[in-house]
Amino acid sequence: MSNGLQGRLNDDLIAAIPNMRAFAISLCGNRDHADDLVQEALVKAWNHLDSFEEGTNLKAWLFTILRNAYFSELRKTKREVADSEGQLAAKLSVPAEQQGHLDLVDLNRALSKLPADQREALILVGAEGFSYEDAAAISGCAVGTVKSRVNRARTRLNELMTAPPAQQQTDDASQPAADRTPRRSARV
Amino acid sequence: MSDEKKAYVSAPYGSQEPKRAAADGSGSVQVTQSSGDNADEQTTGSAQRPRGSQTVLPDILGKQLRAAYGELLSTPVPDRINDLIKQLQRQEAATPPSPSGEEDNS
Repeated sequence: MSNGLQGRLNDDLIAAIPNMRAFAISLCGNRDHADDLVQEALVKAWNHLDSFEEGTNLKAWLFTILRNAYFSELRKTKREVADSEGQLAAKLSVPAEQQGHLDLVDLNRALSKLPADQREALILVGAEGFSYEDAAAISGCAVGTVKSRVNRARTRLNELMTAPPAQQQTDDASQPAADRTPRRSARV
Repeated sequence: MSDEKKAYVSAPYGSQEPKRAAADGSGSVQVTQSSGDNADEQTTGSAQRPRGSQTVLPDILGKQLRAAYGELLSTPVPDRINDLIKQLQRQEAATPPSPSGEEDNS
């Protein structure tokens, strides 16, 4: 059989897996849960590669499948609150020496406090680098909605990152003290 | 590039929940940003806008975000996902693509 196109698509799909995982972890805040979602999306994508329109953005297509899996599950289980409260920060657990001048732990904790749709928009546009148009197509909403969500997410993140530390440290007992050096107010 | 949109909007999974934004209660849809360029971007379609996140986020926050995301990107893919891919590849080798769209439900 002529496996040229299929083979190339498969290669591209495999190449997109790290991005799918990063997106899923950012969305749900839990690596195991994220890998469940990635697996589900991969099986769906693999079995429906023939419905992918060649020449269009495969990564965007995969992200669409992935986020739909996440949000439909979210609607069913209402687990957003449980998943978003600090779990991304906890799971990310960046060693202090790797943080450099970037407060990644703080950032991820703040990120986890955003509503899921804002977090999605911010990750798609701000981290993954999708255009607003692609992000809107992935999220199934209007371009203006994506822009609004990104703006709201940015505003909220700035608030969270500049908030007094006391407000954010209820679950910090397990964090090394080095993670909590008060750099955040100087940065943003 | 702008043709891409209709491709995944019409994809089997892409069109299942276009109404989610209005139903999820977070309220972001009602807010129209009044800050400068964003308001008219919404009506002009913004096809000519330069792509890339640097136009979206303030530099520091954007850098932090991309750094955090970069860490996630660089974490190794776990065995269970690699195993899944192998399994899908084996399955595909054994079964030529069929028009009936055979499902794998594992």
